[in-house]
Amino acid sequence: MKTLIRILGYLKPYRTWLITVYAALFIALGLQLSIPAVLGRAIDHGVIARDMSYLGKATLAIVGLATLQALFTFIRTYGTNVLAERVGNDLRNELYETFQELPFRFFDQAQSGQLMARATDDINNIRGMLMFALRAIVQAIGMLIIIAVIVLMTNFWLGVVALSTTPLLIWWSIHFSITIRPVFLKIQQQFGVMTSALQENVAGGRVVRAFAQEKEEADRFEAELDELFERNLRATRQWSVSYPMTLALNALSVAGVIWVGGWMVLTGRLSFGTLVQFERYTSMLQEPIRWLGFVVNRMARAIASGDRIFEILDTKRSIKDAPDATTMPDMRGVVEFHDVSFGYAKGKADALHHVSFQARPGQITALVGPTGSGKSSVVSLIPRFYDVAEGQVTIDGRDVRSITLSSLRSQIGIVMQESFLFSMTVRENIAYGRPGASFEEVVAAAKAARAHDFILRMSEGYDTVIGERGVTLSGGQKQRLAIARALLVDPKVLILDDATASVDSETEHDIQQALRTLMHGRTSFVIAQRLTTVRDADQVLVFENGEITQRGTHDELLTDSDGFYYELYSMQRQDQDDASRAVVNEGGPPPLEEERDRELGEPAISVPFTRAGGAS
Amino acid sequence: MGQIRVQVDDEILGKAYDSRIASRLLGFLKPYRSRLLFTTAMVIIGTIADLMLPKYFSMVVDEVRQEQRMSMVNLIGIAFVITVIIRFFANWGQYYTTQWLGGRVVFDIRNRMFRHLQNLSIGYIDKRGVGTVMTRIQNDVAVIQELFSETVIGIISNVLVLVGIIVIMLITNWKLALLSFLVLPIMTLVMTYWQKYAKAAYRMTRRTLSIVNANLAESIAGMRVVQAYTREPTNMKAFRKINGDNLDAAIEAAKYSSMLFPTVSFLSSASTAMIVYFGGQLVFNEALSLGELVLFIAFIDRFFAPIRELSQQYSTMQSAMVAGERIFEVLDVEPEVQDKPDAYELPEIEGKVDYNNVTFGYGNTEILHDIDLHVKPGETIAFVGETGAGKSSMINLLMRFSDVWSGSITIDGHDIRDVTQESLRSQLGIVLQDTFLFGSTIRQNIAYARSHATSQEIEQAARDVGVHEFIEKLPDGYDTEVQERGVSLSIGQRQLISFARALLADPKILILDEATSSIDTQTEHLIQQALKRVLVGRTSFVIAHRLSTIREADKVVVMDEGRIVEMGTHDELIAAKGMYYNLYTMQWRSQGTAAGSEE
Repeated sequence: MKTLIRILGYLKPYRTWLITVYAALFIALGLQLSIPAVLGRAIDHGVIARDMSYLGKATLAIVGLATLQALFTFIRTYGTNVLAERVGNDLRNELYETFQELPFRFFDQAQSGQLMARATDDINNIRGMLMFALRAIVQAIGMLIIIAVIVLMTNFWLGVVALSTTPLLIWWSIHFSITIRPVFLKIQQQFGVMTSALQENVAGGRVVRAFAQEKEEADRFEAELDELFERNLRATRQWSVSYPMTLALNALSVAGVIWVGGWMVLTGRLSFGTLVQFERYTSMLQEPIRWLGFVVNRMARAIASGDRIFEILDTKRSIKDAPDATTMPDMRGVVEFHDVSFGYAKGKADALHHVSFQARPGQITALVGPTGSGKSSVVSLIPRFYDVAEGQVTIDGRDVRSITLSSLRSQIGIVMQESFLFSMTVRENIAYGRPGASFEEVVAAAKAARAHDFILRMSEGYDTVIGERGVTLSGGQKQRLAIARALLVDPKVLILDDATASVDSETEHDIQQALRTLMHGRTSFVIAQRLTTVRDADQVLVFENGEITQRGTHDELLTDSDGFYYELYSMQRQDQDDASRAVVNEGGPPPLEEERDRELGEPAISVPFTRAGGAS
Repeated sequence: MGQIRVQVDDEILGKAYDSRIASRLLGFLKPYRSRLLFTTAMVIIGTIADLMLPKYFSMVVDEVRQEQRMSMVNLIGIAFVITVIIRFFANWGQYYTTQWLGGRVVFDIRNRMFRHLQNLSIGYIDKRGVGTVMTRIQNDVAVIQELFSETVIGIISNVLVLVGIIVIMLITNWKLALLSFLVLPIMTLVMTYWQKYAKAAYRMTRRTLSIVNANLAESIAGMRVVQAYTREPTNMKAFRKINGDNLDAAIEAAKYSSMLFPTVSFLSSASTAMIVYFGGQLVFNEALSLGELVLFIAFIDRFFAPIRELSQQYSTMQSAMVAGERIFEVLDVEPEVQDKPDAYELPEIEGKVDYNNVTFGYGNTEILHDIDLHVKPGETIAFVGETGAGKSSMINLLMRFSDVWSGSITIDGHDIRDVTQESLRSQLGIVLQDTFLFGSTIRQNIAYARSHATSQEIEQAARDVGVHEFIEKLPDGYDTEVQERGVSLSIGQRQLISFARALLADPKILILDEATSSIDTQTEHLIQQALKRVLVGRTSFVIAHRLSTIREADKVVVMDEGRIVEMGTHDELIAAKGMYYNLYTMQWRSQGTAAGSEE
């Protein structure tokens, strides 16, 4: 009920529309119900009484009433549509804006498909309720009452006959719509199961074929289809009897009216016109009662949808500007962690324990450690994607929570492991953080990121649309665009979260060059698996289980032969030694071949839609 | 200002009836002929019963007015009730059977498509895209369901009703009947015009809505980037704009959708008035009885619903023809790789593999040129070369995902085209670069190729590749679900699980496409160890990216532009100072300078 009231609250701004709609509804209803009465009179006083002029007048009256009814029905239908569309539209805006403000923590836990469903299916259900159910319930009840009053007043006993099956009809249609709902839900569920079975079979087609599981897959799918068919049949069994039943119940009332009414006319208790009028009213009853069934369903669905939408709208924006937050002037780039503890789940500080360190302007800090040791957590705390559980993160001595989010984040650049690019042009993607950047600036950033050449080779250069509907880029190309994007905002603090992880070794060299340009003169944080980069860092932080276990320069760390860093180094050294031996023996590397990143060629063995593992 | 680009697929509407497609679609009903006959019979009975009811009313009126026999009224009353009961059962039978038919046909089509899809090569899915293939089996088939469970029978029933009304009216009084029919062309005209304008408005609504949805979807997927670059205000403004466009379109469409119903009900009332006026005069002159007038009034009201429904059914037919064509397009694709009629089961193999002068390509482009490669059982072959050199094609051919253009591939002397695909692939194991795990438990994923493997076998396989400890630590151990957001497994962990999967299948020939992504050093170490264990005693083909793998190989095969340019052990090739030497030193070079390099 609370949800329903809250949904109806969205109608408030459109009060005038709402009043107009319901006024029109009742007027149209009155007009509609007066037509059978006029018709009855036309028969009694016109046709039977052989009064030509009365017949003419009655006919004109019907046409007039019908015209007005059509007009008001239009106003009422159009009005409800407008109301429903506006509320749906408002809700969608609100939902979108909420998404923009929700913290990372929210998106870590939510499934994107589910969020999409909130904005599509759930809003649709609410639209549907406002468009149909809200109107239909008022109209159905109004119609029932008015018809009941008219028939009972015109001829009480015949009225009783006309209404005899109505209570049963109402009970039947509401009962049916309640019992059928779980059956339909089960169908939907099974449809979802079938869909995901299909999706996996198609997306994992290579694995299926490689392990020769085609027959097993087909049998499994057939079993799911069979279950879907069975569940559909269960609904059909109920449904196929229900609608004929409402038709039959109503027809029985009509039969009663004709039978009893015929006897009444025969014995002079009723006029022919009234009999015709009664037959009409009784037939009319069937429609609104059938609506009642739908209404119950629609309302239930809309309320469930409303709950899901409001759950999102009510999610706390845990990361937001403090009331007294101030803008950060140009950063110098001193980043400090003071005894920071942190966890991804609320109230748990299990990802980082008492981490403290300082990075000075222009320094490179390398973060090293196994998966899940806390490196990524550290770098997500700097732009305040999450808030610390304990301790403090400061930039230039100011707590990040005291700075406005926009001034903080606009001075921090990030290149992640998997670059997300939008379905826009190359130019718009590079200028994503600075939509006002000039074309020259975009080109300069692309050049510095070693992306300019491949962009020019694309069909429409910087105006090429990329993404699902456009040109597909290789991992290395995506990464270089992401670097250009970060470069263009000219951040003071730079975060590279395993930026070369998903790039093949052929393009890696180019990206390394680009990154070097990017890091120059900025406070940089680099997460990398390979220790070769780490050598250049001003400080290396070794993470294990959420704690810094070693810190220092590469050379300093190597002196501790029991340390993790030394172990890591030894593991990696073997390969390197092999490599250097081979080359040293031959006296230095041969000239570099150009044109190495051809994106041509055979379809690589790869499976689409595979998600790389989660946050490391 | 950046806005998400969306390409909107407009539905293509063509003919509402294409005899070729229609007859093939109807072919799906063949096995259920008796049910089809039954439901058609029910439709006829139901329609006749339905048309009888107003007739009874008119009979009562005339009886009361003229003969005034109560016994007749009673008789008609009983007949009315019986007819209502007959109509109830006929409707029931009709609804149940048509729904059954629709559901059954859809079951059959989906099943056939899915089985057919299993026989198609992976290239088919690659070319079409996962989304498109899914749409065929889901949405297009759903349209056919509507066709069979509602439209076909609906058309029959509506035509019957219309014809029935027309005939009864003509018999009753042909002059008044012809007058009533005047409304038919008006109605048809209204419907045609309405459809023309409404369709355009609806299309615009759908188009703007898909732009809205695409924006939403991308915003959600890329929310981390949005927030990192503080694009929220810009995005909100842009979204309000496109959402507003959708609102405008929806309100425009609402005009049309709100117009139809009042227009129809006006036409219906106006024609009732006309019947009353002219029919009333006929009653004056005794050319028409009062009951017949009542019958006309009742029937004129029933004219409209069938016309409205038929015009909807016309649209459904149009989309059904399009959907049908798409469905048959899938069903008509000949599997690229097919078992020969006399294909035999590949007996248990030792693992000797020969590529004999193999040529192969895609479309018109030849990709592999005259490849000759002979591998002894138990040997490890490392393929090395740049992207596009033909390494993946070598493997695709061995798996028989495609057939060679010329030459042959033999395993233990059996041409792989002569044996059944199932017996071939069940003896080959493959570990792919991007590890695909199914959305089931880890146990089921490892046991994918051997669903009856015991827990001990599964755990042994996991132990052998060194992932057992990790799995044990997960909340539900081997029964942990692997899903979108179920458990985040790292790339390395996924790989280890897929190693276990391959190991459990215990293939004589193993194919491995090494991952290029960097993996943390500990996991990397585990993988190297696992690899050694997995390769023992099997003929192995590795698309190698890691130096250690290459060094352990018995033979390094260097490929360039679809040819084998060098072959030998690592040491031999280094000494030869050819292409391998160049590749190798280049890798070394980038490693020396790179952050996060592989080798």
